Amino acid sequence: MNFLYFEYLPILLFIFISFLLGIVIFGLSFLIADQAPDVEKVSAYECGFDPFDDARNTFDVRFYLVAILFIVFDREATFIFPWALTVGELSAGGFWTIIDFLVERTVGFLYIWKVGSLEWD
Amino acid sequence: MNFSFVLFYRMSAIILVSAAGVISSQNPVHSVLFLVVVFRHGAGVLILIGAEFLSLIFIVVYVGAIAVLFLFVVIIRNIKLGDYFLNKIYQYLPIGAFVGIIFFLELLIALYLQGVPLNMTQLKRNTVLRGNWFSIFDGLTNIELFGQLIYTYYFIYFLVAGLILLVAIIGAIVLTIQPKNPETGINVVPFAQQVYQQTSRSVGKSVFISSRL
Repeated sequence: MNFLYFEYLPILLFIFISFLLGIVIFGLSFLIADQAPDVEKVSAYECGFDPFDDARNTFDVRFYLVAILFIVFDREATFIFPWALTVGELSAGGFWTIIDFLVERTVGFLYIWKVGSLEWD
Repeated sequence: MNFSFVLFYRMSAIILVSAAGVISSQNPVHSVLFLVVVFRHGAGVLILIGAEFLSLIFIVVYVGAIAVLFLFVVIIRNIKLGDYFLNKIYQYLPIGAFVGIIFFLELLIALYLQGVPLNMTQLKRNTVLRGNWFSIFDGLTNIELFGQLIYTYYFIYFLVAGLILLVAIIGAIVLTIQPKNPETGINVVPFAQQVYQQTSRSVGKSVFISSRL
């Protein structure tokens, strides 16, 4: 197995070295820095008085919608990759299945567009 | 003691430890980060068995999209550290054991039964268990292998996956749609003040612990 995927070895080396670098940076700053945590130092700052409320705002759910739509259309792209490489070897049926898939995606996209979920105000 | 042997056992060990970390971590963001570690090492195991397209797609789709989605859920749910007491775990133990047994049975089904056979080009039954992937390894790259199979022989699975994604789009839209007033263009239910929440604030409840060293 090592001989077949020899090209991926630099990636593994890269991962190890970046991991070591991360450990060195974090570890050194943890070991060498002077740490004396105090209640006043560690608590949240809100212009000097005690904080009214939690610092987290209500989260607009449109961001979540963007993440979901990203997954769906990303899957579309990952399905097109193998087809793009092998379309010359496939039969006619292979071609039309991907067209059907793209039509489904287009229907979904038109629905999103018309319903107004892509509007940001 | 092959190098790939060592790598496989190292990645499997890290997957198991990180999966334990996902469910036992106190901070939900830490749980999602452990899950990212699980996905990355799963992708590493996939490279070892020769499915390099699948492993990179794991990283792109799982880590780049699904783990991000989990992070969004953690943010939206606004989970704080004090919500999770140790003695509450045992309430969920029966249900958790039930779901765990069902997933384990699914794993056995995937290994021992090969699902619905569509035609004669189905892989032989013992291939997955014995792991003799090299006896069917053809000299194609993984992408070409996928391309030759998904769109022709296993096209049903491909189209069903497409339909499931379409249902996911529609479900997400239905959950997050905010109807607008057609004349003014403002939302029908605008962001309003929540008077009770604003007047019932107290100092003691607004400071909380977000992490423990």
